[in-house]
Amino acid sequence: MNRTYKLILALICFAFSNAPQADNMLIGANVFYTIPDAGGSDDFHTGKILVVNYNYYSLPWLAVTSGFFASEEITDNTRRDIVGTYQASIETHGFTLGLRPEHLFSKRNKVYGHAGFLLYKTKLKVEEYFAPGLITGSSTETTDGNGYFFALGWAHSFTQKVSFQFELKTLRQLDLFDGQTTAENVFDMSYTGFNLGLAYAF
Amino acid sequence: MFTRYFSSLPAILFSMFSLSACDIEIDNNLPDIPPQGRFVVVGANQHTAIASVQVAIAIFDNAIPVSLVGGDVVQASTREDSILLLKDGVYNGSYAASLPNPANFNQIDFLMVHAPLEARQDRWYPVDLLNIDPGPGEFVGASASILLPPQPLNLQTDSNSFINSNDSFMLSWSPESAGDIMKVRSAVSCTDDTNTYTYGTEATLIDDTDDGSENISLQQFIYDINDTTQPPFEFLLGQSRAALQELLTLIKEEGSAEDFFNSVSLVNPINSACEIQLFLFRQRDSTFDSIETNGRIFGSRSADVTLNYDPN
Repeated sequence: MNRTYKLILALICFAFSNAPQADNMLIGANVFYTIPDAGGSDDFHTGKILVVNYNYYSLPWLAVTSGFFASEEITDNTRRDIVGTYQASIETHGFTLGLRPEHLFSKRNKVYGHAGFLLYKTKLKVEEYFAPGLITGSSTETTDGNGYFFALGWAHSFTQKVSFQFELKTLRQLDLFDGQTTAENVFDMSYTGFNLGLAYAF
Repeated sequence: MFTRYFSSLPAILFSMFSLSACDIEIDNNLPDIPPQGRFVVVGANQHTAIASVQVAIAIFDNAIPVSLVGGDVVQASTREDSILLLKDGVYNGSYAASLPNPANFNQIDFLMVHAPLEARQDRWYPVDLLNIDPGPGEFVGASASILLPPQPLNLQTDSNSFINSNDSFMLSWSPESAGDIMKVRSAVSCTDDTNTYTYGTEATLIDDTDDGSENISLQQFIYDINDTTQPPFEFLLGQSRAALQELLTLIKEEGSAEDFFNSVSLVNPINSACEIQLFLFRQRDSTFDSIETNGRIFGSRSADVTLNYDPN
């Protein structure tokens, strides 16, 4: 575990240590619109990831957050090379753990940051089409690992309990297929985009 | 018929080399392909001072380009280096690559191989994990060799500055006795104070034998846009223009020759200062390893020299 994760864990422990002072919880459900980026010649279409977060306020301005995310199957552009026509797609899910400091700047509005680390499981599928009479098929491989995320958000309260959330967010999964393929084929996957969702406080 | 094929070979070859043909208007089919049967075109050229050979291949069935699929790919090699022809050439069904040849080996070998992982090497995902292999196709194992002719050495002209389009000059080079054919093409850039006009010509030679000299009129390169009679040269159009564009891109400074032939005629060459980059090709036919293979296979080496025309 690298130094960043240790720091985040330390902050989370600090937040939980103040738990008796907190009496607020917040559950948020968001849709994360993102274009995955594998850092190569990939050209993914926009996809959606469902994100559910549980926030526990250990201080009035600081929450510990944990969450779950699951994507739809997000497809890469169909393309052709000397082998044939192919299309890759990716599907991912995982857990997040982090901190959410926030600042109330008016009665109904606040800004917040959101950062932490994540555990992922990602499935990569490739479909290939050759010429008539040749085998056509698909191949699927799954990988898991860890990563991190960070976001900047704005929340607007409709009522005391229900609020709207908008976030600009990046989620980064590290070292996909590490240990399964050669070192030069290992890659990171980034998901950058925006979150739209609702949160319920209790 | 064969002579007609042969005369267009450099154009075909360099057209196939082209990795992109941005904004160059060309027919997307290789010219002079027989309408019936299987036909293979293989070519290689090395330009002076370029440490690589540009290689290309195209296969046709009944004049329809055959796509290599499933990991079948052509490997071109010298004694020391090899490369897979993974990129599409300009024409349908053509594949091209640049084969390192710093030692100037003459023999270039071609072999059709089944390389499912190497053929996918430009994909972004781990191809060793995600790989659907249909197995080798019918062309795997086919082979051919090209012997490149000697480089045109000592290419020079008896004058390189001209003031009149009726002037002529003697183009000379060190002759060889192998019976190779010589071709002359040019890339011409004419400019006045504000505009530049670039175009290409294919010179009509009195004889195209490898005799070491050719008397050439400047009218093979410079013309009057107001003269409605046919100039004595052929404009480089279609595949020939794409061919020379690719060669210019290769030998000039990066970016300086982009879209060389895409300018419009705002300058009258006969009244303007023009730079003429003249290319001499020495080209030689080769044979396929299998006598059953129908097609054409050839190699060439080329050199260039620059002339200047200024009537003012």
